[in-house]
Amino acid sequence: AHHDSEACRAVCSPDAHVKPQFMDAEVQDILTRITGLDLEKVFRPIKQELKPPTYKLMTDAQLKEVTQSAREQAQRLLKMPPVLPERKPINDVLSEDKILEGMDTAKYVFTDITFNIPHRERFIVIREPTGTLRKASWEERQDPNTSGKYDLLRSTRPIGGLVWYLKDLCDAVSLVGLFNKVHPHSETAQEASSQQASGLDLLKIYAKRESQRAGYVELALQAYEQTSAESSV
Amino acid sequence: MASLPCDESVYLNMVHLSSFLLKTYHGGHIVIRLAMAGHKQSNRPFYRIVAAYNKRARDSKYIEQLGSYDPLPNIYNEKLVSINSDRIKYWIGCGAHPTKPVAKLLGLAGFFPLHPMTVTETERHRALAEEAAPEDGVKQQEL
Repeated sequence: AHHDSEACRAVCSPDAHVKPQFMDAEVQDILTRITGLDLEKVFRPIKQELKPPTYKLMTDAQLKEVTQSAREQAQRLLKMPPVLPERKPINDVLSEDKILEGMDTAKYVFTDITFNIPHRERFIVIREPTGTLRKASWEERQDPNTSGKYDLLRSTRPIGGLVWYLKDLCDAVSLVGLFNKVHPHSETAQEASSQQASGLDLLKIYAKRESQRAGYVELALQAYEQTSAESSV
Repeated sequence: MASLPCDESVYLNMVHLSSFLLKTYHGGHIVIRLAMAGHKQSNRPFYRIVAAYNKRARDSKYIEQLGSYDPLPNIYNEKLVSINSDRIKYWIGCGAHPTKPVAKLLGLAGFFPLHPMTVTETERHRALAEEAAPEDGVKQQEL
């Protein structure tokens, strides 16, 4: 995790003056607000060693203190993992040996099993039946049994990073505009997390639905502005 | 390998550079070779790339396992080979000899330069395939 955050900072620094970066205080603030702080979910029952329950007698003030420390603990638990720059596809061809063509119908996958290398840095090369020797792509590197299930839920750690990533995909929407869109969503309507996810997901994939959503969101925005205007008055 | 001018004893001395006590009665040298991995009863070969004494039986006690080779392709049509390059470099530095199949595999991996027999085998394979193909063509014409 340290290694990754350092890498992120190293990449972020050249553009720091150009556009807001993930590590800015403002951005982090907005992202934390989107993430939300649902104590019930953060501290939901997890598998623990079985022990008899403990009871403590507290005054109201003590209870407040304990709740406060619990909130801080939740905030720490919800610390967002840093957003890495998008990994570049690996297309290195190490050599092309046409003389090897037609040798075999299967490809050879060579993995280096030296002990102390992190998984991403291993040498995994593939020798094709055509004789080209190339490095393995990211999809080939991952264990074939792992599936990608992306659950976007509130009060979960990666959602801040995901929102950050998706902002790059919305060409037409500026950064602040996106957050204004999402804020009325999460604050006005107490929608289920899947709805919010679908909003962002659909932004990414379906242009058609985006227009429908945009209408809804505009409505919500107007309502929000009205209420904020009324409250200020 | 035969053209090296050094005496056998030089290899023994080089092998003694490693840290554990070597049994001097072996009188042989260390090789890196493929050992069948105990699936003998199941009609399913699987090889371990292994550093072992030359005189030992193929599948018996080895010094260290350096990788594996699965000759049967998997569902993605890949033959999986694992190579512990760090340790292979160590044993070669101690004077171990890789056998022909191991040298071929390492040549295919890019770890060694390509083995000449690989090229020869490919050419022979291609020649056989060409012989088979025109024969089929002739047969179909006859039919």
